[in-house]
Amino acid sequence: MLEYMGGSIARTVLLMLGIVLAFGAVAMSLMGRFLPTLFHLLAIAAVMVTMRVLLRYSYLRDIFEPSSLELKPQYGVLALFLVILVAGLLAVWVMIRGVLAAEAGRAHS
Amino acid sequence: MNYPIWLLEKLGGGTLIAIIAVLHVYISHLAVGGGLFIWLMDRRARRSGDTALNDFLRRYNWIFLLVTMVLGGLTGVGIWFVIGLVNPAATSTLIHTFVFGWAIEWVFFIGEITALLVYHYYFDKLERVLREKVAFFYFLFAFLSLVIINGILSFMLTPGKWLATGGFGTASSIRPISPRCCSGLSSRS
Repeated sequence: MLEYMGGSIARTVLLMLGIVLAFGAVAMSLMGRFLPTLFHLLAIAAVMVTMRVLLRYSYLRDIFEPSSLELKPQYGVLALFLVILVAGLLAVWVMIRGVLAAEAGRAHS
Repeated sequence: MNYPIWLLEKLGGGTLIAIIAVLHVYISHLAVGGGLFIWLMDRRARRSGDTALNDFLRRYNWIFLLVTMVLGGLTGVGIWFVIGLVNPAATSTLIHTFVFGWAIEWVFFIGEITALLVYHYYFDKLERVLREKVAFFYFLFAFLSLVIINGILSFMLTPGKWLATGGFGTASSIRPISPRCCSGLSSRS
């Protein structure tokens, strides 16, 4: 854990960045600024994900290496997922477009 | 990795899972069959100009939303919660074997939730043809999510060649999917 308390400059900076962003998100939300709050939250999520990966690797360093896992690529099902994702998002867009048109119609009337 | 054991001496883990899962299965079948019902009735109301049927759909879809989305969502998460406690290793296998299966399932859930919210909150504001389309999207996504989850459940009943290969394609069988998908449709219609 000392890696995050000065042992590693990069990891310590990452931890500090997460803390600063958390305070920033609270400050922005209290000021009622939506988009800066959202960007802070997205940045915090990215920092948290990175921290979790790094922390797990350092915690398990002596007993586990990801390279020891057997890799089984599954490109077929990945392609199927991507096709379904695009089709699903298109369907959602059709519905949202209908909602926007209904809202626009209501605003005109 | 070894997980701690959560021992339910009197009730048993399987019974606890069944209590939540049986309720969830009833609700999810209602969601699929009810989705078909709403779409067909909406179509009928538009074509025949039946205002009483239209009023019924307006009232019905609110109850339908509460039961399928709120109670169905809670029991669905409840299943994950309880299987994770009763058998963490099996839950981990289920997740890792079907990573993209779950990803596909979530695409269908997003479509399903969007369609039902749009249908309910814009019931009187959407053009009738578009509202009918939204009802169809709801049914389609609900049915497709049933197909995917059936494939995954079939794996737990009959893992097939997965025991030897460990691949996604060999982990589910189309044979057990068909009758249970049909039962989801017939339970409501």
